[in-house]
Amino acid sequence: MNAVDYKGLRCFAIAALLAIGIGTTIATGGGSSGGVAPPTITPPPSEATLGITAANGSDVASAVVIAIGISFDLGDITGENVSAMNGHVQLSAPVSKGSVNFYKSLLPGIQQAPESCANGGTVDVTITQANINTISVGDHIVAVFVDCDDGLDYVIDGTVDMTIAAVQGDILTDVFLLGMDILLTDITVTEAESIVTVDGDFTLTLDSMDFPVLRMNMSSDQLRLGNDGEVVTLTGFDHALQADTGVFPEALVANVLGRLDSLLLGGSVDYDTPVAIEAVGDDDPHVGEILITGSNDSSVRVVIIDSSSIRLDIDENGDGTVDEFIDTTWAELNGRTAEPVTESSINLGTAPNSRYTT
Amino acid sequence: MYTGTSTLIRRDAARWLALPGSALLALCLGTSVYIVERDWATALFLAPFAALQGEQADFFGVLGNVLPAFCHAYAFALLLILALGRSRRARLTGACAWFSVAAILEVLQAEWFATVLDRPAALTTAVPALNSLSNYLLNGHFDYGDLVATGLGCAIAYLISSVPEEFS
Repeated sequence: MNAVDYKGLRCFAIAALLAIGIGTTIATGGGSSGGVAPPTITPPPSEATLGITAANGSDVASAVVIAIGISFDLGDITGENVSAMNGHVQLSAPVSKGSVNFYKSLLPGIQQAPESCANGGTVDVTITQANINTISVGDHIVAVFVDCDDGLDYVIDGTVDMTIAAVQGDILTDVFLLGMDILLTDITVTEAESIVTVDGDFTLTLDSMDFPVLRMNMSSDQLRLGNDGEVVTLTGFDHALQADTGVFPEALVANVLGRLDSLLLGGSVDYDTPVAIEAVGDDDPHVGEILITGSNDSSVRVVIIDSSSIRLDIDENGDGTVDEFIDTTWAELNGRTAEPVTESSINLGTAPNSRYTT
Repeated sequence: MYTGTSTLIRRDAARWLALPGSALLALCLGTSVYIVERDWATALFLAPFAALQGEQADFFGVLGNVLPAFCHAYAFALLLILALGRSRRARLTGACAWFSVAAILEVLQAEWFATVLDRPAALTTAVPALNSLSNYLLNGHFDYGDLVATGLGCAIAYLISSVPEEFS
């Protein structure tokens, strides 16, 4: 009897070892570095498109909406130490103005010495200008943040590297166009318990040539966003926002397209706005559609009913027929438990308050 | 007479206990490569903490490329041998068995395999474990160096496990 038990125990131990061994091999990616230390498992781009189903439709829609929101937040990096990442401010007309104000403040000097941030840390801004009296194409600005806390409820660390790519009009007025190539390296924004990381480069264009209509456009081949451990990569994206500040409250229109890769979701999806997203003032968008497409033409269409309600139309097999409807809200899609206080923005997700926070 | 036998038994036990200890150390060493050198976002067991990762260091140099595969193979081949028994046949079986498993898993990462693999999206989404396997197969990198390191790890595990037997 004892011999039988011993044999059974041994078999169990062998089976357990094999299972753990195989499991850890998969969890580590096989240990391979593939030569010169490339990643073992990369966030799967085009070759691992995610199938969209009723089970994951909400998560996919939420991930895309939040990622778009974070990308819009980055539009503010030039003005207020990535203040857009504070979870309340999204890309908006005031943000554009803030960016411009930043440049205006730089005009008098070529270089600024490292400055202490209000509540600790430093920011070291280095500017290389062709003409110290104005901004010119090719001007280069590097801001290095070291645990910089300006009392805005977040701490920022990392490097923002900007090169002026286009200038039209007079930046000292309200009518101008400013194009910038921006490289973000090891940016970390910490707010309370939430940590957002950003790596990559993008092109940002601020256009107020048709003032009081302001336009902001962001595009990039690849931008990697981390939010409390979840890492997503936006590739080939082009996000545009238009704000008509001539009316009150201002009218906002957003158009986006691109691809999102998520290790957590297990693949990539393409997104587009067949119907432009529109919002007014501080409210969440009230009109628009985001079409998210996965493998085999499976899709989830985010249909904005009004400024609080959203319907998700899920087509699991790509036959053009909606297989499941899911009624949800902006708050649920953004993972918010309460509406954030915003200022004139299209609220397409806020990183620190996202569902990934919990 | 009694004391002498007891001492021998204790020494024998100590030698055999040293083996799982060395396996544990090997696993720790392999894990440290991931923690120090690798991008956490690329390893499933570290991905949830990717946002907390600091600067990646090149601490292990060129060894860092194959050390995890070597350590993993050594540890699991050795533990398998210990589970199978002390005989020479058991040791050989354990080492060969783990090499076979690890080699198959490595080969499955080859590019040609990924091209013929089309994961059923709905299934992988519903079962996260399959999703992880799918990611491993589609996005992992096949490396001959890993294959050699795995073989070396299993061979050393076999040799090391022979030491207590030789002293008995």
